[in-house]
Amino acid sequence: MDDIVIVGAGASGAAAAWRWARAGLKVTCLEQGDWVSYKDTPSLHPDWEIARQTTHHPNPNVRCGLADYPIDDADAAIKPFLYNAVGGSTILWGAHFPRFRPSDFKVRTLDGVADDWPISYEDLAPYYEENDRMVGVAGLAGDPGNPPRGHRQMPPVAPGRAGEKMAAAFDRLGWHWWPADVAINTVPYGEDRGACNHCGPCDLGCPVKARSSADVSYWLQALRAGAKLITGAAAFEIETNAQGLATGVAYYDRDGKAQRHKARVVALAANGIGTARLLLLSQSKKYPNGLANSSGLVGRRLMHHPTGLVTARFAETMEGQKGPFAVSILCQHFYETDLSRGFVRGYQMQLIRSDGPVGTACGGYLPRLPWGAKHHAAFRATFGHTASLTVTSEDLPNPDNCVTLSSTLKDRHGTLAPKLTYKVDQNTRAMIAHGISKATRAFEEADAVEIVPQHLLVHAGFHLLGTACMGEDPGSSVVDANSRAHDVANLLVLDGSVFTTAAALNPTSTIQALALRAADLLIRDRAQIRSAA
Amino acid sequence: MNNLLALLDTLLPGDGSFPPASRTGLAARLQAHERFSTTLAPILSQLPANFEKVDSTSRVDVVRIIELDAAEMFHAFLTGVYSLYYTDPAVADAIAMHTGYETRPPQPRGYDLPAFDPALLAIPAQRQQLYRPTPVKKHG
Repeated sequence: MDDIVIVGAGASGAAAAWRWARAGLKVTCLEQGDWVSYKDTPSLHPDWEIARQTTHHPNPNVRCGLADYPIDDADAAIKPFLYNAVGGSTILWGAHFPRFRPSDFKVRTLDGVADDWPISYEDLAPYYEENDRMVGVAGLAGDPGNPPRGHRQMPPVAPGRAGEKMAAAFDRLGWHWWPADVAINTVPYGEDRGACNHCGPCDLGCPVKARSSADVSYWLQALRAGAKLITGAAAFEIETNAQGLATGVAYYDRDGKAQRHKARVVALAANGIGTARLLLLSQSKKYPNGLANSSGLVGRRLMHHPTGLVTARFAETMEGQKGPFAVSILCQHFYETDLSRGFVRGYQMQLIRSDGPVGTACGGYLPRLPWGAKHHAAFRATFGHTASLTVTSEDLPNPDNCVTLSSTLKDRHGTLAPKLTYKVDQNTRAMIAHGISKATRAFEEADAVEIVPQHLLVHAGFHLLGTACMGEDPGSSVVDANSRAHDVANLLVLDGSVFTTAAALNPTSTIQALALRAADLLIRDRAQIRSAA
Repeated sequence: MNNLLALLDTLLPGDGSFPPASRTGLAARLQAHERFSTTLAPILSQLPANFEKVDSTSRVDVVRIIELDAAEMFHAFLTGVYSLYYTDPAVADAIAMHTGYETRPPQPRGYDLPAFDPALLAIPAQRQQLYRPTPVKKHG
């Protein structure tokens, strides 16, 4: 019998598997997807942009890949954005890698809203450092806007013309900015990983392996340390015994045959939708409402980072097709709470580069170009001439925003699909409106000739958080400060489901730091943890 | 010219250097594309039988009505049209001529960009601590 079985080979599952295998534990990971091949990345082909609408579309309901499960998102104001493969959603990500700020862990104490985390920034700081070393971070230490941290492994990514232009605009406005911490090699770093060649579409896969993803940053080393990985394994139940302890995971193999993998400890790393779905599917006499759900909070408090977007067009070219599309510089000037703005908590603005030719015409950062006689002139004026600022806002937890089980929709194995119910609250709307006004002001300062806001990006459910939240009280949380289920002693949750609150920034570095910490504490405590064996 | 070619030229008529859609391989690629071809029949069924024979102003009027009446279907169709037009070699040449953009696959060559210049940080690096003081209570 294994010591640990992990469900999900994405950002958190990979980090924990590496840690546990290095400690000599017998660990197996079940992943419903497969390895991604970098030999046939879409960006090697002339029709690379079309992959974004088909095989690499971020919404599994559109992509309809073999490893994907359908998601009922009819009642969700923000649609899901995820990927199922070894590496999980880091296969598609832009690789922003900021850390939470200390205040993000204490929003109840500081602002009287939501809940404090049971841990602090200082608890995670050593794990952030270790994770940075494994992933490889380009950036620059010394940002007065964030706590001190070790030297970044590599210098910042090239800002491009738009980055330099907006940095100067922020300086004139007196707004703080800094080069973003990003998980992209600017010099060769890691195993068989080269430096970014500024090709642009990181989301389509990086054949240079400059953009980090969990398959290239953690999995090779985890496997070498002895971890096992079973791909094509779609988990459908966490099995338990009469004492209520987890005994292993039931899954369908790639031939559709039901299998069982037993282990002393079960660790879930299937993202904020998949983990909640699996817990809710794992009903029994002892757990009629799903596993680890005595609080009734499994699947509840779903948080995203509701995102506004302001795109500017400049008279001169920004050469915005060059450089990693999602990362450049970052403005966190409006990050901390200032109640005079009319909302609590805050947001950050990330500078985004331009679309390729197809994206420019079809729309994304800007509306679709007009058809007809004016089309070609519009294309010439737009292509390569744009830059965008996101308004990435903090989403406060609301129990009505949730993942439940669909009553009718099923995946190809006949397992009930998840259903998302999600609305954006007034505080968030006020925050995004403020951010849009500030981003517009910044582009005016930079002499943009046209500025177009989008008040809420619908296809922006890329951060799936809070659906098995962390807390001290078993009545108001699902897992404890060590990421272990209150109700089931030998069950861990490693992914973004455990977030007590969401902060207003990209969560992957925090997800992985939490997973490394949970793994370390399990190693420390494993002799005392009750298990079915 | 048949109705499909007339429709494509109404959408993308070409100008100085961009070719009209009918003079690229767009129609054939659209009909052959696994996903985009499914948008063709519903749109063509909305066109009057003599669409190719009416003048260009009347064609624009017809298409505008379809865009208004069947917005979702039209958007899906136009996405396919734009996607395949802008991946056509002749159109790629036009983009390169007008913008200097190298219209080849982004990989494996990538593009050159100047490295980050630390001098850009002259102002932000001088600031005092900006993050909020927060009580520290480590767990356990």
